[in-house]
Amino acid sequence: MAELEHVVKTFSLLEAAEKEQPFLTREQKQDLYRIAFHKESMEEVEKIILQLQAPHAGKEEKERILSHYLEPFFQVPENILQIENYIFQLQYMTYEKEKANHMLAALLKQENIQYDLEAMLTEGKIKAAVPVKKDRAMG
Amino acid sequence: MTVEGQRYLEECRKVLKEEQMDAVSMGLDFGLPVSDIQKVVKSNQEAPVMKAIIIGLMEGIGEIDFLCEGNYNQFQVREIVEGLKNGLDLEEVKTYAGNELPASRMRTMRIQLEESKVKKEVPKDEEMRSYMKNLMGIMEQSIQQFRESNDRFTALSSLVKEHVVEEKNQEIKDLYENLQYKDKNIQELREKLAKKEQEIQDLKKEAEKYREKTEAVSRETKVVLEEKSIQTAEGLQKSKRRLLGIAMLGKKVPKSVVEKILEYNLSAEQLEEIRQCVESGLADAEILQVMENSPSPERMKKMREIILLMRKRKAGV
Repeated sequence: MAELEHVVKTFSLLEAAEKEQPFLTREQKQDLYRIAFHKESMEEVEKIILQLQAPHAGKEEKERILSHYLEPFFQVPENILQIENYIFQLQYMTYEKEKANHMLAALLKQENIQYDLEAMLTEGKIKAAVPVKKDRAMG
Repeated sequence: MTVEGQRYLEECRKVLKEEQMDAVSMGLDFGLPVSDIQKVVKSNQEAPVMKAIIIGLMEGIGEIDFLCEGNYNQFQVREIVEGLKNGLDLEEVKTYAGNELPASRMRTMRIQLEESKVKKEVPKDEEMRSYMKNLMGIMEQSIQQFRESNDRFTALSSLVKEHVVEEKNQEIKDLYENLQYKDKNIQELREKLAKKEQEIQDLKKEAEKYREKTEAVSRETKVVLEEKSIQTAEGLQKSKRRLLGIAMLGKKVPKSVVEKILEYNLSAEQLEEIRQCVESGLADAEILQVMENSPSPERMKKMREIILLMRKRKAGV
């Protein structure tokens, strides 16, 4: 029913499409994410992006397109809509963070620095747990 | 029918046709407000349209102005009434209500609109709960993904900070120190250069003083030397002539040979050689050959001997 993967793909598609000039407002993007979230086919989402990207499409035209594609989905109360938007935001932050991670990994590779990320993560988890124990001991 | 209704019906009888009257009568009999009936009458519609509108009003449709002003036919009015009856609002009805559209097309559009509206209706509580539960699961999963990504970012950025940033910082620090050292060096060299320049300047001044002095001295010396050299040259010429006079005493030395001797400014040794040449009996031309270009006394001697030997050979000795 809900395709989170489509939302993530939409981030990269929008990023590429908006490279030269942004063409959607924040609210319009949220509507587009919702469409991607509920659409079964990613191809349809790509087509919608192309329609939105058309040079002649003004603000009203874009909103008409978005509401047309949002229409078939059942309407949900505002609070649920808010949760959907939180999920999209979280996914977007994760997407951006992963981009940063790739850049850092590339930099380390370029400097020829060897490391075991999994071991570091495990060690990090242990370290994160230690101060709690200490605090308790001090308390 | 109310009295007001009956009165209005009587009024209408004067202007409306029989079929129109039937529609008005039907509405008034149903108990529709006279004001609504008046609106329908004033719209001056054909009897079937009037009837369709009044039936719609009887069905409880409130959009009387929209129906009266639209200039629709009876079938189109029915489709509009049907849409409003089935829960579409006026804005939705307007999307398919057009004079130019046949009632059949309006009917198709109305049905589609009604169906999509049914789909869009808020789902039942159970469905909503299920969706909410699903959504919360996705939310948790998203939070987890973000945490993991964030942990990776923390680990990688600490590595970059440790191995790349700190290294680069050290490099920058080294370069900065190096730069400072070089700046200091440059400063010292500049100071040295300034000192040297000052020294050069001082030396130049000294040299200038000395040069002036030297020039003055050399001018004086030159004058003295010139005077002396004139005297010496004259004396030398006199001595040479005297020596040559003694050497050539009793010999026939042609004037051209003597002129050459004076011209070449020959030394005493060279003059001795010339004397030997004369004594040996060499001809003027041969003596001139011997002294040509003022050769050394040894060379003169050898040339004299060669000339004499050649003479002997020619004579067949």
